[in-house]
Amino acid sequence: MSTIISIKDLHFYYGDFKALKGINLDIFETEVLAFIGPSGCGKSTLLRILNRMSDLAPDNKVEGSITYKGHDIFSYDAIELRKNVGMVFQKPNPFPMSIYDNIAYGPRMQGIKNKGALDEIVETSLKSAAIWDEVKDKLKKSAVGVSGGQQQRLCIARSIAMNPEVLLMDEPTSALDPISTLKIEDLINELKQKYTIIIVTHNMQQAARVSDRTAFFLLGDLVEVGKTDDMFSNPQKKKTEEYITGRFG
Amino acid sequence: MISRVNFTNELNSLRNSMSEMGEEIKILVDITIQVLINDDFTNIKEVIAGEQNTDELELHIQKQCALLIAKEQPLARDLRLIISIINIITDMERIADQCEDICNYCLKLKDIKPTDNDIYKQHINKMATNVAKMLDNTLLAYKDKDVNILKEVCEYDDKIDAKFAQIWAEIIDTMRQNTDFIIAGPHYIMIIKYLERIADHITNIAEWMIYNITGEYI
Repeated sequence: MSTIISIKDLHFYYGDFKALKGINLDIFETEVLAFIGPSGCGKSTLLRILNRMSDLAPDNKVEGSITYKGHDIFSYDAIELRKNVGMVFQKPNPFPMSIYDNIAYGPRMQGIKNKGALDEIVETSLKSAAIWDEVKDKLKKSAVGVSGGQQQRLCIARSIAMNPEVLLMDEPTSALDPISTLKIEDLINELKQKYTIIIVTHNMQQAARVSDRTAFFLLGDLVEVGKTDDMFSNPQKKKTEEYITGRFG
Repeated sequence: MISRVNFTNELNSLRNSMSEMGEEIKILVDITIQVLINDDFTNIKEVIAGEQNTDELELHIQKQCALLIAKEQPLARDLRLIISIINIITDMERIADQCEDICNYCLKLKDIKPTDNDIYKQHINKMATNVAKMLDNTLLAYKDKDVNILKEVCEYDDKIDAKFAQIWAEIIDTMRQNTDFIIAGPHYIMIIKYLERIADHITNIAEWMIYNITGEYI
């Protein structure tokens, strides 16, 4: 597997607070990588840095390097980077417009005006997000009118419409019911054929179910990263063992 | 702060149940050896009762394991403990069955076995003593988390297999030479086969104990 994102000696500060302490991590193409760790460990911070949501705030400071396909992400235009590195948030956040317009929003901003082309992108994206059959007859209806689980899959479809290579997911199912959660997990399993997915989750079983590798963070350190099958059956570090067995955190 | 106190207590209870079953098996094996070596049938009823008790213990522990998996979704060392216990108690229950089988064959031999103390009998006694020692070492090593001893137990199984083949040949040879031994011979063959199977189960137990401690499959 080839590396798509490479993080080297990354330090990150919120003002005086050091949130990440020398992270080194290679992320591979079309893998699902789970970030786990207790609240405040830095996992969401790192996820957000990957599409430049954290370093642009005036009090925040980043040291070290992150490359996306060999290019320094901090010299990328943030908007350009986000076309390639999409983000799905904890709470579904559809735009207050129709389902169709939610998906077409990004491509339109990129200058695609042709209706046929937009129709195709909308259909392909919704199919890829495994929600086409549920919404194909109500594309002009408001996106905020569908269920939470459907909204989250719409948001994934909206990200896919930009044709990214990496999808970042920040606790994408924590606001969803169990059935919707399993649908998203099935979807992740489908999407990994084409996309690199990095998912932050507090749900150990979810990390075990969906990811190829798992990275455990604690107090800004990357404690251990390894194959998920190994991490959840026989982790190498005592702190990892204590965390995933629920003895602290 | 240590969390999951109830879960930790339930795992400790599970460990204790497995240890209790291990002690029960040890007693059964020791009585069986006494029956076999000394023709001491005094405690043979304990083997039958013990076998039934291990069946009940196995079921009880299996239920405990299933509940813990459903309620607690164990991972890492907790998961390894539960998986290894589920497998270990199955082997322990089989050992109890085979102790009972050996005792039954000893009872049958009581009236038919030849009076002379042939060399094969001494070898059977030695084999039985070594199998009992394998079990003792396994249970002690688990208490001490001594993986090296557990690995030695696994390796020792090859010697028991070799001993089985040797004694089997001796018994067949004796049957050829002495037709009076034709009736007793197959009984002894069954006994050494059960001893050899008990050694296999002890080896399985040692392997699952190693997995529990280290995560390593051997």
